[in-house]
Amino acid sequence: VIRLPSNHAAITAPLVASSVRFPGIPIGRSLLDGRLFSLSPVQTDSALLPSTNSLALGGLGSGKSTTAKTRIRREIADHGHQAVVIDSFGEDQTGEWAALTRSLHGRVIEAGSFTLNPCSNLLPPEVREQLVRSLIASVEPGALTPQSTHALQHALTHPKATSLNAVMDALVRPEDGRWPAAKLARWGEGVAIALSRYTEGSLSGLFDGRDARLPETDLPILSFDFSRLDRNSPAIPSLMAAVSCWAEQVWLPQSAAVHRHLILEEAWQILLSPATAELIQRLLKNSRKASLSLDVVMHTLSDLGTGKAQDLAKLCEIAHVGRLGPEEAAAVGTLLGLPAWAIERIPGLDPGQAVWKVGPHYVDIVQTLLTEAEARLTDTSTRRRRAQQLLAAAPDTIEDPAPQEKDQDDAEHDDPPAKHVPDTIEPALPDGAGLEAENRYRELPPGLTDTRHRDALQAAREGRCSEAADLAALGERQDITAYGINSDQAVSWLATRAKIAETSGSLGQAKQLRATVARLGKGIDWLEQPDNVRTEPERRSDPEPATHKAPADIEPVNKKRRTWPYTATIAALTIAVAGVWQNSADDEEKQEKSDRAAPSHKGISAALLNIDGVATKVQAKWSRDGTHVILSVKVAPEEKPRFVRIDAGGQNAQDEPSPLKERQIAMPIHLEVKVPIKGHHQAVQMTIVVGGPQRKKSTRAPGRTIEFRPDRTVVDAKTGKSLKDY
Amino acid sequence: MQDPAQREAWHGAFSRALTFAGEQARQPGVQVHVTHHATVRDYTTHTQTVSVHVPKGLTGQPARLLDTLKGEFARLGALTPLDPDPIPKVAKPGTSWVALEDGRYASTARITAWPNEAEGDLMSRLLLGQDTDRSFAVLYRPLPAVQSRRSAKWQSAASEVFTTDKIKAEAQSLASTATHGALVQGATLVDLDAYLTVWGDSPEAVTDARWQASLTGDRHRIQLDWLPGQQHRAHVMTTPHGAATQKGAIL
Repeated sequence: VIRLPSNHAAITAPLVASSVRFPGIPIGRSLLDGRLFSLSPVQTDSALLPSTNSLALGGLGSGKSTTAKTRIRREIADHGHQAVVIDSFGEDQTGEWAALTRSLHGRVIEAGSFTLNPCSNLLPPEVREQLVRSLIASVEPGALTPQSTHALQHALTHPKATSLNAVMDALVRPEDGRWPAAKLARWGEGVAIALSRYTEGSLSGLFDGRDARLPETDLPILSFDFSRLDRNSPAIPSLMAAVSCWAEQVWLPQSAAVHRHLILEEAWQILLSPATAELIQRLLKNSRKASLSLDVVMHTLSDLGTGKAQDLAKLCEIAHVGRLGPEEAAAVGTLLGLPAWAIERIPGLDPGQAVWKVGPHYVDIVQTLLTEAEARLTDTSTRRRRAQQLLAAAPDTIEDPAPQEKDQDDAEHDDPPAKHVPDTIEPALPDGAGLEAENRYRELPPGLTDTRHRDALQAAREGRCSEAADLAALGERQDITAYGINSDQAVSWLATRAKIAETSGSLGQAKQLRATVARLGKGIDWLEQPDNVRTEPERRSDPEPATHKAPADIEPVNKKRRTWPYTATIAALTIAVAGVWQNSADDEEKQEKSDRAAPSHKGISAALLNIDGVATKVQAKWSRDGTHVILSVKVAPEEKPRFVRIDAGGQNAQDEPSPLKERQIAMPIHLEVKVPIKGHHQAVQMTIVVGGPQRKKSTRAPGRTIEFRPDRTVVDAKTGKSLKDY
Repeated sequence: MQDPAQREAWHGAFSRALTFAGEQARQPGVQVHVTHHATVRDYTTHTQTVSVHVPKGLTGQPARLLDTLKGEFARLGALTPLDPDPIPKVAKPGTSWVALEDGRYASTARITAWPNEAEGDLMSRLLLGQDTDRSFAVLYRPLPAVQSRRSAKWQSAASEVFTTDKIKAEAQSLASTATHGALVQGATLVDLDAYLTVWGDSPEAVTDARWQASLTGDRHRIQLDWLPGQQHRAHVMTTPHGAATQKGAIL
């Protein structure tokens, strides 16, 4: 028996391990007590962790980005989160995150291989202005004075300002606004010069496209790959501005995931530019409201100077610090408020080990543990490894807990890309990853499989009519919240409801719903498909005649967008093959029709259309010598159209009548374009977009593409149905 | 446990809790048994228990005493009630180990000497970051204040009278001064017994674990007295069932 005073005896108490445990995904093993360390910031009690942003620091090869990748992979696979990565680091001309992104069926978008149109109609006007302003700020921070901002605002409201080049024109040759044109031109000089970097200067090709497509918002992971650009390229701040604007204004409002991550890999160059640093700061501050986590991965905070680094550290409640030099470790430790014993350990950490600080008090040293598949996907130093092949120590791996996952991963890597079934759609962006993902959606992360349409229809077929109606109403409301009332998803619910109504016996309601779908001008062809083939709209391309090129920035509503990348898991291959077959059938039909059309030439064709509640008369008149066609549209003033535009053969005309003043008489709208043709018998296509009296500025006006044939017939270019003459 | 300031504060609180426990009865006898068991697999699971044993007849209201002490220990950390597993029965006693019915082999040592110059992180260095299963337990028997004063008085008097070695006498007087200071500041004297059990799947494994534990003990200046043969119930001391008799001996 040893007899000691109680204050001496107390140090023998064997209560040494902490009981703090965070919920969520497993990350690794604590080096202090060997316990499992798991953490999903969003699942942690908000009293303990008010914000969910994280900061990863560490020297080269300290494993900071491997840890970040593993965390994201597990969050997506286990909890159905979504992630957008801004990846500016990598080797062999591919981003560091590319392999991981592809394995999760995400999409890699490479900088330089896509152009964005910041003035596109897909973006609401305020976003357009914000985006153009941040583009200017990132090349000429001083150019935005109050006057020049007004000149820019004036130029952006110009109806023709639908691309960056057009905005430049409107800035250089403004029309009179609240101030005279000369004044506006003088004010706009600075911003026009700044924007010329994007239209004719060193940054041309990134933002001056007329093409207006935005990345999908419902992918599990999307990686913007800036690794091809030079580290110090001036394009990076601009691209960053565009991406963060997109994330804030389009992605966050539209994505339906429970939680979102924005990952900034090698973030110092992004945070160094004042324009983008401000954007990031704003995202950080709003992250809690937007259910977004910012995960910042960088070398060390001292790259940033003092003021900003402190701000960043304060906003990141979670930090993990890999190996750093002693001085850097001390500086980082002071900034993050790490205790001295942890700072002492930082210079001696091995790859994959990091000091974690969670919330204000919890500090641990954690070895990240990877499964074999993860080790392969996150390995970034393959070149170095090849050089060291014989000497390399075995990586610290644990047995993969899910053997079937490993098999699938192996299969992905062994499959040659040519084995994939040819898909008939052209990719929205020139990268094949999304298409591959499409063909493999069988192994979706949970939560993204959408069987709601099928469930509702099944319920109706089994006679549970009211339950089916409830399911459909619920799904419709979800999709309206997630995608908007005019989206294809919302309309597809109308169609499903029509089918449910039909199955339940209320034919009148079904008819009414179908009429609504038809009036919205969305594709109704898939409605006619038998139930067992497909119950949801599949994306499918429609072959377009060579003479017509639809203007890209106005999207005709009945063109199928790629909005359902993850549809039900009914035999994908069958559908793809059916799509191919159907398209070729369409082609044949078209050929037959043009053959038939050839003999009877009338030289004129006309039709009465109703778009967005506005009756319009369209007409095409072939010239006698067969060199051109005059296409025209007439709208009576009683119809009160807000906006009319026609596009054909690369030419367009539009009118947006201003609201009437007193004693002013409404004038009819009459627009004409002259399209060259190669003979009397050539058919001509025209896209007409009309905004009805209820149209709001921010919504896109519906449009239709119609085909005029010289035998006095007009058909809808999509459905092939002939339209009524007047 | 890694942060010196926080650790010191926690040890202070534990010391006060022991003192408080000692003062709950007029006679010495309240026993506080603290165990730590590490199960090492892919990850290590730590099971840490605090149990309080009140001998029969020590106080009129043992339930009240237990609840009071429960509140006291709850201030040290998050307590969850635990129903300990039944004591594994001994299948076969060996000379330096016992084979248990569940297939494990155990070997237990009593700790007979602590390092003189122990830092506060002794336990965390000894118990964390190990790679085999190990159980560790300490049984505390705090004395009531009056008794601890009397004990301190007799101890210092005895060391003054019976120690002829000048250096040793000087060292003991320093120690008794420290004890005196601690008692003045409200601490009490605590009798403590500590036990360490190593586990293995086979006699060879447990012998090897015992060897490793001896090396660890040497490194930390802890003296281990391995309990062989007859004392085949020794491993029970490192389970939450440990404290049984009035003197804390279950052997």
